[in-house]
Amino acid sequence: MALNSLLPLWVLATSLVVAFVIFAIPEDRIKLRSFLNLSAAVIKLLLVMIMTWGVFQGVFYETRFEVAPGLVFSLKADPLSIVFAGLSSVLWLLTTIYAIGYLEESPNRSRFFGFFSFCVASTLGIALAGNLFTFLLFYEMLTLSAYPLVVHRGTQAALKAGRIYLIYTLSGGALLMLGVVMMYLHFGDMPFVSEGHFQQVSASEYPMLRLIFILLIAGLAVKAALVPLHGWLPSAMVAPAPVSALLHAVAVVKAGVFGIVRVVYDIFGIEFSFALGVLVPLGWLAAATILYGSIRALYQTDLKRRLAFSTVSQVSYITLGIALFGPLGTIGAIVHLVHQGIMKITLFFCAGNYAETLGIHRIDELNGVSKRMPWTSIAFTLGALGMIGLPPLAGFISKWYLGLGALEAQMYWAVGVLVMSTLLNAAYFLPILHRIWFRAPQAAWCNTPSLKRLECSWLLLAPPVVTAVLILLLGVFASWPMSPFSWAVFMANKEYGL
Amino acid sequence: MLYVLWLPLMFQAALVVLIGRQLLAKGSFEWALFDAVGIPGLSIRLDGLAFLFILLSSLMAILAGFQISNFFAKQSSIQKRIWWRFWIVLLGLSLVWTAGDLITLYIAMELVAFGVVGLIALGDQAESYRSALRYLKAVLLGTLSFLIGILLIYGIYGTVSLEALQQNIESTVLTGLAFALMTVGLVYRAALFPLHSWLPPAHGSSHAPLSALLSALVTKASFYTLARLWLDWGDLIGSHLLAQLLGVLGALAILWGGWMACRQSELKMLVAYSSVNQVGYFFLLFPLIIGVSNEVALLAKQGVMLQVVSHALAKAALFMAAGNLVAALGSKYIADLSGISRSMPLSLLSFGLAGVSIMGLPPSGGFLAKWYLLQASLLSGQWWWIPVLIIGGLLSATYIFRIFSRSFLEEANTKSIKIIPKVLEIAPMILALLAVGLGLFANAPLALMMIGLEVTNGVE
Repeated sequence: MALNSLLPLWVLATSLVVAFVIFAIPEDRIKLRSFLNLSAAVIKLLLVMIMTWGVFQGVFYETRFEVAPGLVFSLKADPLSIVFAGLSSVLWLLTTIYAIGYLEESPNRSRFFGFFSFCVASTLGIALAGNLFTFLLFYEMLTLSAYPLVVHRGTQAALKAGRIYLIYTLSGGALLMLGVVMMYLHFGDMPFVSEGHFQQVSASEYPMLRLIFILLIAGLAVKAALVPLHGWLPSAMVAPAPVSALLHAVAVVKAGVFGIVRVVYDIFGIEFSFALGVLVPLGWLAAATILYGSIRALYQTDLKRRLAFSTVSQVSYITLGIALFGPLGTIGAIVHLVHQGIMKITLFFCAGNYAETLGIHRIDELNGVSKRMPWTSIAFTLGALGMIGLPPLAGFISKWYLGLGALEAQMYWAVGVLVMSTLLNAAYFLPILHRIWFRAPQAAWCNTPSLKRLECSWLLLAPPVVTAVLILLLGVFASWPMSPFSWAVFMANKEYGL
Repeated sequence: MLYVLWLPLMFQAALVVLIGRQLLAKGSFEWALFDAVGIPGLSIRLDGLAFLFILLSSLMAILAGFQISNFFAKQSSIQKRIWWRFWIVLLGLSLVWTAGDLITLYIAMELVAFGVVGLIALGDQAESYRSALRYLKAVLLGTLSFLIGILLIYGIYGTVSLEALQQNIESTVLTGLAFALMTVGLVYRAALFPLHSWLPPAHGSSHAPLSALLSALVTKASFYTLARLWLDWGDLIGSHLLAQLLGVLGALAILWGGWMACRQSELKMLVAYSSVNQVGYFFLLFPLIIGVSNEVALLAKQGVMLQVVSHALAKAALFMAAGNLVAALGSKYIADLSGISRSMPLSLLSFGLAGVSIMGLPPSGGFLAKWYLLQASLLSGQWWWIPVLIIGGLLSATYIFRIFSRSFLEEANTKSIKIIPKVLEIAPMILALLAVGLGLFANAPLALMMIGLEVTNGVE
């Protein structure tokens, strides 16, 4: 029993302890640091796998203690935490490998990997948080630990991006905190439970609950990059590639969306949120963000910036799925949480490889790059096609269920938004693919003989190839047990009491 | 070995254990040297809150003492002259926490002031003497006002015992006047806006480990006294207007101190102005305990107590870490910090962790404090404190991140950074971790605070 109550804490401790150890060891102990990083990532992954199996068997994991009278710190594993924790621990391992390769020979690696581990600990804390208070705790920890990563390069541009990032996220955090405080004051401790807390609440409480809902969502929307609170995300692109990858796929942006999922499903409850009349406005906001992000992406000439606006758009699919009142929309939202993460991290790994190996930053420099870097280009293509939603890739599964959800909820405008967005996705991804595969290569690097057998260091190549394969597998074998899709179905059934 | 540090520390530790056991076994208790009622004498009142502060100042004595003994060269003249001043301050503080009557309180506060002036004057520049004199002036004026109040009270009631006064005190014009005079005097000594201008130069110009001691404990002494008087008598003679006024001044201190901290060019002055900013939060106590429900008052007390303790820990860590950074750089300017993260990561990390508490972000004591204060404001309907709390937090974040933004800047310059002894990085890290840890383990200190507090608050 003691083991079960401590397992969530262990999952967190693996990266937290490593963070402190990494700060303490000298800058030039590269091998030791890489070993510590990788072994912590592997151990964490194993622990999460054990926990996944346990939750599947119905084991209850919770670490809890009282912080102050009435305030409980709680880490627990429910199906939704497993989805997010699983995603983070898999992608952390891959990103660690990638970052070790990417940052070779660069300064301040000790600081980088220290905060990198803090960041992952915070993300896992968000995933496993058992109540609103604990969630808030790790949510703000994430804000702080991601800052040194965003400004890592230490240039004026990076510091400016860091400032913008802080202004947005700290202000959002303050709103979120106010919302959480009001919630605790009026309704007491708020553990996350499926179907929420408010089935029996009287109508006189509705205005207060609406206010709290708005505060919570406004606070979370900053990280989730919902329009008009998305401004920090494109500017944070100055960060090194592994940071962008992590930020867009699992850490900061996802933390915001995950929070929205928690608030709607496990605090208010989907049926009560619907009764409160807050779901439809949320849906409109998500729809506006989806279209806005896609349109802005069309006009970007910088590869990473285009991907950033694509994230603004794609992440809001999840929020849209939440706002669609019905189990199919829920399935779409949860499964997209995982699929978007894997697809987006692939794209950022590839963009980093292009930049690192060939110095390519702008889209018009990509002509014929497939001849020089075929593996990276294949991975990028799978990621991009997945984003568009081409069957049988992972992105298709999530879009299909979001569409079905919209039909089920009779929100036909949402179907229109999805179709529009798919067309826009194609419009900003296909030209890139065209350049990569069909344009004539640029002379400069085409003729440079590759000294190594591989197109770039295997540390940089392996992670995107693995995630690209996952994109394919998650699409083809979606219905297998323990797949993200099956977990999403499992959760949706619970939420709607089916 | 530095026997002037370790011997008194051991004595102190034994005493703390002794009275701690007594407190836990029997609850709060009083003890007087002259037992006759009505005669001004030396008396002690020990309850949970007092004991909490004794623990805090003992901890600070250990860590600041450790830091001081390593910060200054072993045979330097400062090492010879510092210790008696150090122990006078700590003796005075222990008496402030536990004074059972107004005369003891007065003597205790004078002892503290006497020691502190000596400590500030230890700085080797002429600036330090000016700061010391300025401090002395502020303290004397404040204490004078406080003393007149005490004399008035003694004239009216014929006793200075806090216990006796709590039974007898009545709401009359003269008592109100005495109370107001004592409040003003203590407010001056606590450096509340707009009477704060003596504090930043005093804290900013003295040696870093001494600044740590001053800002962590000495500013708390006056506030602690004021808070205890208001907790004892506030329900009977504290006026709503005065309470709101103190709250408003606190709010202004939060905004002004934060704004000024954002504008400083010297690292230690930034940290010193941050104290003006943080002390402001303490004064939100008064509007939130007068004329409100017991529930609100409890939340306010818990919030402010956590704020005081976590500020003490965090600010001491900030000053010590800042002292290390300045010593390594050989420059006191923030603009010279670029690249320091490479050579002094540990001190910078301590600065950051302490900064988390100062900003009121989780997990930290400062965060829990803000949590309780937000709840108290919402529950009492005094919503106007909420924007103050939120903007204050953002301002603190602005000045803390100024340091980080600077130190992460990569410039192509070849700066010579001095190697400072690693041992100096221990104490700030411990303090910063405690400030953060208080946000996760606040149950015990809050429970300790409650021993005997309901009784002294006049709620049977």
